Amino acid sequence: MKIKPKIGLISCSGEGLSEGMVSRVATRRILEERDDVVTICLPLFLAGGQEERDFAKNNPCITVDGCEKMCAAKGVKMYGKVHPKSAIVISEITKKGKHSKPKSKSRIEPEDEKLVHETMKIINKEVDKVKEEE
Amino acid sequence: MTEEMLPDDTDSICLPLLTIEDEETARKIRQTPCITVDGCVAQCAKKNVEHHHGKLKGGIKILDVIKENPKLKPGNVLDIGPDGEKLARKAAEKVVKIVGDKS
Repeated sequence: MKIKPKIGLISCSGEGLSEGMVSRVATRRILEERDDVVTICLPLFLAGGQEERDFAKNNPCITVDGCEKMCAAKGVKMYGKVHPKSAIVISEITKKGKHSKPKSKSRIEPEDEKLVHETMKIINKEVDKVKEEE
Repeated sequence: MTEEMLPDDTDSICLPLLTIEDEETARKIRQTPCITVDGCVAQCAKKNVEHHHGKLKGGIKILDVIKENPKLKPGNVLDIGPDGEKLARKAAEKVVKIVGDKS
């Protein structure tokens, strides 16, 4: 019996921008809700060992980045030598105009909750899509 | 720390920019004194800065702050709770001390 790998959700840690806070919180909430996803701290790709570097090879990954620099997506390509199955970018969601850019880099304010929920909806949809394809 | 305590003297950078070898960020940490704040034993912030030969002025480990304040029990990853907020402030105070250290 072939055991399907869990879907890897990799969030940017984005300490330098408020959208990073949204990507971390939305990703973390999905991890607590679903048992078919796993994660890794992005900086471990460089600071960790081979096991960490192989994470993206062993798990189909969805990246959740705060900005257009897309560190998580680039990290998967650089260290895993694979493309993420899906790449979500928070600043792309806010650009659509329905949600404004969060103000704080250190906390989610009540007015940011809608953006977090929208991001979670997108992540869930992408996880289901990747699961169907695998 | 960067938003409330020393907004004019400090700034934070995204750690993953170092992980993906962003040249502009690597240059910045080589020119600017850096203080790393690590959450776990893997010490990713310190290792990423060292990897790029950053100007490391000091670093703190959150696990040390937790050990030094055994009565404060942080909440969870999504909500660190009131004790977690106190620990965050204590960690920030340590960073302020390093920022003020002229040596």
